[in-house]
Amino acid sequence: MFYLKDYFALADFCCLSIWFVILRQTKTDFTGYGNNAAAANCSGCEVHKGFYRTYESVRPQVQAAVLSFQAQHASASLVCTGHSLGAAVAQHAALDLTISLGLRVNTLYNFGQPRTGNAAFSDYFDASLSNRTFRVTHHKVLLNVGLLL
Amino acid sequence: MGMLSVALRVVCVATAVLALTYDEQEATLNVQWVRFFFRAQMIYNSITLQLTSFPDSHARQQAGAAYCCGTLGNGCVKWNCPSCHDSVEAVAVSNVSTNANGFVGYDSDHDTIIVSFSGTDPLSIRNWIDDISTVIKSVCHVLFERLFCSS
Repeated sequence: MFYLKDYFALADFCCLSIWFVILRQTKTDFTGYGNNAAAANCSGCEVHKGFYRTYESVRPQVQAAVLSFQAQHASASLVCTGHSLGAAVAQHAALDLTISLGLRVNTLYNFGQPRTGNAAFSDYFDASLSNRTFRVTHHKVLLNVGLLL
Repeated sequence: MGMLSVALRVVCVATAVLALTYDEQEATLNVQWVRFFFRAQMIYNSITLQLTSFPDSHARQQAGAAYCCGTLGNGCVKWNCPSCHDSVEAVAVSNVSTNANGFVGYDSDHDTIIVSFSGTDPLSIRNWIDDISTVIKSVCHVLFERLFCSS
């Protein structure tokens, strides 16, 4: 059976090899949220700069909105979710709400999340949220499967 | 699966053709096109494959609803996009310079506060560069086994 989608992976690969030479690596030290390294206490942690900065840019809005909804609905559970880049941002959001505000994030559903940080950051995240995190990926999406390496 | 899906499949094939006929001397022109086609394809692939294959429709809906925010539309403010459902009150969350888009909402049916972010916005170069630099890194590792890649 001829499936057009089987050839998409080839297209991915061709395009990426072009971009490989054009774009630079983006990585930065993880210094906590709101630049509060003491609260984070995560030595040796490095994160993808873009996702980190994207979350930092909306952090005050997210915190204010979550606290406002919590004040109105005290018994409500808290769920973070997102797709692709949004999944990486949602991971930062869940971690931030946990360590900065001391909230309990009940579940984190991530769809097609790319790699967000290094092994130290991963361990740090796992320590607080791993048993409540569900990461959904598809084996044909290079963005996700390639990041196991 | 409609016109959009067919159109995206066509541009995906065009991507492969363009990439295979890549010519150093016409790099600037080609890369412009490849960038556009690749993004259309990546978004098509990942949204359809990942968001449609997950059984928990509630979480899936909420992740999908974030795509109504920002430059893709103003659905998060009006809460009228297809993945939105009636029992949610939401506050849109966004930043113009980083193109972060999402919402914080309260779903009274499930008594749940939802924090949701959208992925790559097809109209945002900034988002796209964040995504692609991650892809580049993984491909780099596959091809060169960390020889030329920072760890």
